[in-house]
This record gives sequence, C-alpha cells and structure tokens, in this order.
Amino acid sequence: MIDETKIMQYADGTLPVEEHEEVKKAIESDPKLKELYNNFQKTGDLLFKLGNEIKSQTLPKNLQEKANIIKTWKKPEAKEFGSFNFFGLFKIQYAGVAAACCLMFVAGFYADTFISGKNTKSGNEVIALNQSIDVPKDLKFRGMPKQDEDLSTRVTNLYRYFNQDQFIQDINSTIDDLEINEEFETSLEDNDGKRVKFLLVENFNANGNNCKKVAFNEPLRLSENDQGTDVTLDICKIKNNYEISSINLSK
Amino acid sequence: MKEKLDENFVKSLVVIALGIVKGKSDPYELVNGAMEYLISNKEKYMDHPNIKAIAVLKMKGLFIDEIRKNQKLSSMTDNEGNDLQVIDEKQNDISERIGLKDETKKVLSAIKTMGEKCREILMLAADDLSYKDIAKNIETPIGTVMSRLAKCRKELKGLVA
Repeated sequence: MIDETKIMQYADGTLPVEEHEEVKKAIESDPKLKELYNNFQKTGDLLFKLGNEIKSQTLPKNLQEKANIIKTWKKPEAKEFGSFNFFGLFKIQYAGVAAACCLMFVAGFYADTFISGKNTKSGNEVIALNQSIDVPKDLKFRGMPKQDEDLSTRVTNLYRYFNQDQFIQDINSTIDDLEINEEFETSLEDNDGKRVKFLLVENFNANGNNCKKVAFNEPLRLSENDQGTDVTLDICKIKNNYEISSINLSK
Repeated sequence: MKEKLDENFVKSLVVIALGIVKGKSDPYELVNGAMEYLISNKEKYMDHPNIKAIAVLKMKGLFIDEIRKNQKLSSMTDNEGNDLQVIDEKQNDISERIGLKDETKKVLSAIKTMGEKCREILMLAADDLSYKDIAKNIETPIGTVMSRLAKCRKELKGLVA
C-alpha cells in the first residue's frame, strides 16, 4: 500500500530501492500523489535551506567559547593521514575549481553544470561539463558552511587527487552488485601508490533515478589545517551509466 | 555514529532549540544551558554515543523550567496586590536576530505557529538528521517519526503556500 510516508521517503531519496518502481508508478498515475510528492520535495528543500541558513550564522560569543571548549575534548579518532595527506599541493590550475566550489558551498547550489579538475597527458586542467542530466535540479552540492576553514584548498586538493573519469569507469559495471556497507576498491591510488578504498553507504532515489552514496572509507586530510574531512559522492544512473551528481565534504 | 564536537555541533543545537522554544524564549539560552551542562559533566558525556540526544533532552528540560518560572512570576503580586509585570527583554523576533532571509524567515515563522511535536520534528529535520537519528534524539519509534514528519510537512506546506 502506498501511504504518504512512502511518498515522503521517495521524495527524500530514502525509500528502499526495491519499492521504487511501485511508488513511482503510483505517483505517475495519481495526480494527488504527484502533488503530495512535489510538496514533500518542496518542504524538504525549505527545511534544508532553513537549517543551513541558521547554521551559517556566527555563534554568539558565549556559545563560540563553549564550542572551543568541547573541540578540545577529543581530536578526531585515529586517522591514517599518511596515505591521504595532500596539503601543500596547491596548483594554480585548480583555483577556478576552488572558487566555483566555494560559491556552491555558500549558496547551497543546485548545479546543471558540473565543474571538475581533469588530468590529461599534457597536464592538469579545469573542465566544465554541460551534461544533459535529467535530474540536476534536485541534486545538491552540499557542504557545511564554515568560516574558519581553508575550504578552497581542501576542494582544490580533493580534485587534484580524485580522478572522476577513472572512478566512474571503474565502478560502472560493478557498483550495482555491491551491498550496503560493502567496501570496494577502484584503480585510484593515493600518493603512496596504495589503492583507495570506498564504501557503499546507501541507495536512494532522486527524481526516479537510482542513486548511490559512496564514501571514502576514511577521512581525507585535504589541507594543512584539515584534521580529517569525510568525503562522500552521490552518483546517479543516467542513461544506463552512473554519473557523479554531487560531492559532499563534511568535518 | 559519534558526533563531532565543534561549532557545527553547537549550531545544530541552535537549529533544534528553535523547534523547542515558543513565544519569546531565546533558543541561544537553551543551547547555552545545555552546553554548560555538558561541559560540567564532561567525564560522563564526552564519549557518549549520542551526545546530541543528551543536549536535546537538557534543552527541553530547561525550556520547561523556564515556562514554570514564568508561570510562577505571572501569578505573583506586588505589595499592593498588583500583578507583577514580567519584563521580557527578548521581545525581538528571533528570526530577526538571526538575520534570516525572507523565504526562510517565513518558513520559521510558520513552524513557530505549529504544535510542539511538529516544531520539534521539523527543526530536527532542518538539522538534516535522518529519520533514524531523529528517532534516537526524541526517543520515538522510527515509524512514528516518519508518519509525524509527513503530517507536519503537509501542514507546513499549507502554511507557507
């Protein structure tokens, strides 16, 4: 039975994959359910914006002081930074990417152009792809706004390290066979030549497209000041191939 | 999953506090009270697997205390038998103080007109918590969380339409 919680889950991208088809058909055939689905999408976005806007405000002094106290309680849990230490690798070619990504982070950006760093034989370059993806309006580039972080450097170094074409090529044929929480490798290697491991975190739906959230299996140290950034990738199947729809950085 | 304790944790509490307070109460004061509580009980909570739920519970307790205090004050009279006027310095709308944009201000104002359960669950959702984490924070079964959230979101849509 399709009740409103199923519609809400579908709109939020949290409905189990095996139920997608049934819910999708119900929405397509019933205008009331379609309206409900649209409303859930709208309220989901409104709440997300509300939360982000509140969090983007500076804390009052007394709360900031308390935040500083609890920060000293515990450093992030044991992290093997050696493999993922990319600070100090900034290259001017990536400045454009960094600036663009910072704008995305601050604005809670909905992208229909995907900007990326790309490694070519002649060197590194910045590319902007106008992809004909059916769902970009609902796919988000999310990150927690922080005023004290060297975000541009972190984003820059992530792109220096992460070759999205190679990643997509590697996972396209295998990712559908993975179970949630299953770890997997691609041909991507870190600076020490060690294979980078990923984790399939969840399956979700974005506007009827099958999507997956994939996480780097350990925090990345993306800048000198970075104490560890959790990086996840949202990838969606579009025209039988997976594409990266968003990259999420959080501390 | 353990919370990372930093300013984003505190900012999360501000979002959630906005769902707890009503009227002229100050969400920052609730957060401050909860943070003081956590800091003074550091040994007990620093490794707690769900420290946010502890903070949420504390904020609710503080809010109830505040209501009781205000009720007590409003029932008091001065020497001549006149009702005591409680001077409230927090008259300003909190969304003005926070400096929200018009659209989000409208959403927050709408949420503030809703019942306690809806305010609470919508602001937990605004904190971008999963249904499961919302359920943990308010100690409610996940099925109840989902049906309540769906109902409250429908109500919210009606209010902001």
